[in-house]
Amino acid sequence: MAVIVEVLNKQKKVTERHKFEQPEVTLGRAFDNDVILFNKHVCPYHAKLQQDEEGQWWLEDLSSVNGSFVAGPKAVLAKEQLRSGELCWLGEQALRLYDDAHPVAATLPFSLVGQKLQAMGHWFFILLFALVIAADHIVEIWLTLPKQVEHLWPLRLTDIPKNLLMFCIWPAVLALWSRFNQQESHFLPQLSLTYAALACSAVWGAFCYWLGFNLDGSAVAQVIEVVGYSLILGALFSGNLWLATHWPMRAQIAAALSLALLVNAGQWAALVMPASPFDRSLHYDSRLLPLPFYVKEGRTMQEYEQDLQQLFEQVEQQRLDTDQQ
Amino acid sequence: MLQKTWTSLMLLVLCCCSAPAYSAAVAEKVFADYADALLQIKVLEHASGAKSAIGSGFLLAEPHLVVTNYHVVSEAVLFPQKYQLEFLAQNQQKGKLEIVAVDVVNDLALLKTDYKAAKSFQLQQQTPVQGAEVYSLGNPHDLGLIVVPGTYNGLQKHSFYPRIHFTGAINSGMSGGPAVNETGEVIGVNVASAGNDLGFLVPAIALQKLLAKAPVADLKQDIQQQLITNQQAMFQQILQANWQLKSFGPANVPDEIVPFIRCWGTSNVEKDKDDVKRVNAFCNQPEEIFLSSEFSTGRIEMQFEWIQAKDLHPLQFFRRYQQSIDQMNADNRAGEEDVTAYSCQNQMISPVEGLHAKAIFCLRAYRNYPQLFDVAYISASLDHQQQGVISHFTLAGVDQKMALEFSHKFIGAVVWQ
Repeated sequence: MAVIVEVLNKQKKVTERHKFEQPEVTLGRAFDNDVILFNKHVCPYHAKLQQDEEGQWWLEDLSSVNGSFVAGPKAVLAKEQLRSGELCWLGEQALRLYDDAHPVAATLPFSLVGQKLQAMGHWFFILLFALVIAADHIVEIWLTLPKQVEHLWPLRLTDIPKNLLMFCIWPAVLALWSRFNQQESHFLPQLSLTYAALACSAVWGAFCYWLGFNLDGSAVAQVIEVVGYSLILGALFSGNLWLATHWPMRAQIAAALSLALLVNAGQWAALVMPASPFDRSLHYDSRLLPLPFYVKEGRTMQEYEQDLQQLFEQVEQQRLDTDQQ
Repeated sequence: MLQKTWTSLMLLVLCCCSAPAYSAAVAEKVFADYADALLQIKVLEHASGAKSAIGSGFLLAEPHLVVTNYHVVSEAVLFPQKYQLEFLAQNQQKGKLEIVAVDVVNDLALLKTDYKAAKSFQLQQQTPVQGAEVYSLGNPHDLGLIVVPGTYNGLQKHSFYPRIHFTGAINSGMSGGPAVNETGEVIGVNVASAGNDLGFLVPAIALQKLLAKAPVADLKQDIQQQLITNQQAMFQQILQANWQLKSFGPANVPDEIVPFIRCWGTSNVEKDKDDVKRVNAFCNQPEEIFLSSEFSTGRIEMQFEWIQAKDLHPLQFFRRYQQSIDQMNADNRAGEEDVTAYSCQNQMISPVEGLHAKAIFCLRAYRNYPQLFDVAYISASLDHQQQGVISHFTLAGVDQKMALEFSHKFIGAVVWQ
């Protein structure tokens, strides 16, 4: 029966995999071993694996300097039996042994989401999202830069590459994390995903500006805005985790949504928390757009005065409530 | 002829030289006669015994009461458990004082005492003539009681509240002291200074009204009633007035609608490079009613801005337009104990068929004075793509009826031509 020897790194990830048909396999740093190890704490002839007549495998320590271990801190004195799938250590070098009849995990089918996420790494998508982000910046500069300081246009435009570069940091961190976990880095799909989230936020921001103006800055508009931003962030982090980890789906979604809520905590707090009594300023929605952007009818004076009367009653009620507290 | 002119000139010089000498002598006599009836008023904290505020006061002969400013003793009125009042007379005699009545609108307080002076003050019954000598007495900066000679210059113009214009230096700490004529009769009570020998006195008539008023059991409730009555009187005058409108760019806006509301204006039209032209008009009734060191009320402010774009896209123009309405603030001081947080309402209104404006109306209630509110309103006209008019007002210490009637009249008065 053949034996499979896996060489593992410190994170227990497989770095090499060997298959032997012979009943004895030598392990050590010397080049005439069957498995040549790199770790400097491993002896040139550290240990060997032997199969007995019953087909069982045994680890025999060859009087090594740093010892050999099987399932525990106690060093192997002469030899110790190894079961299929069990770990052993030569010094601090981990190895795993399998017999060829050991069962393997079920085949993981291609996932549609995974394929789509991978496909997003195409340069065309990255460019498309970057263009949307750049367009949002240009519109913002065009809307706000006064004519008397028009010479600042080039300076303000340099913010675009700066921003695009800055948002490379997050996918780079995720790529490094993946590499660290011995997985594919997926830098380009992660970058594309990050830019897509930024582009969606820009479009969502513009839509919410219009919505806020049309709903007269009501609480509903504010909730919709914050929920939207949280969902965009949730989707971004879910995609990030999908590409960077092999966590179960539920764990990925839970972690992504928690992270999204954490990042948006400030906006949620502003929405949910009551106004601070120390806050003397006036909070109102000052968003203005040209009249054709307003889809409803304006309130007549009579209706407006009724609304104001209600406001007086509401504020009076607030006064009574705070007095009671 | 030459001799006659010479004599007249000599007489004029003599008059000029002798006037201060005469004034100083009278001042000295007034001070000597009434020094006993002049008191320093101290507000002391019960727990620490430390001075929290000081001011001046004087003893009236009939009725036997001490007069001072409300703002000197406000802490003792609002927090009687925490503060007490004490006087210090010229002869170093000390004693307790008790609050009998207050008039927050005219900043007066009457205090009960068992202190007796050799000669106490009387109120002057008739109005002095313009230019009459007036002597203001008080205790500036806690330096001891002094006398300041000055001139009576009639009632302050453009003021809702009757205040005597006194040309003489009223300094901090002289508040609550009397201003008297050469015979020592009180013509007013020191109340405020606008610097450079410009002082203001509450006329004796306001003091007479307070003396004639029936005693009240609950001072805070009485203050609330005074505030309500005062704002009703002020707003009735404003609402009944035929509002003067002035042309303001493409619109008409209210101008100096009543004598006590004054207006000013500025613009940036000389700055050719600016991509929007801004013209501002500002009107206000700046006099405040002091309620506590953190809380004042009574101000009215109206502001208008005409903003016109020079070759801007409507979206660009509206972003600049928005910047003009996103910084609205309250016009009066108020602490967290005094008022609720502002609640704002945001609406698109159509005050007249075919006209539209975004209107923001913010409101906060007075916690200790029910029925009174601070109001802040701002609106921006939206019917034009390259220009707009912003109209804004703040009202402090107003009841619901007056606030709604004022808003109605104000919104109706801002008309696009």
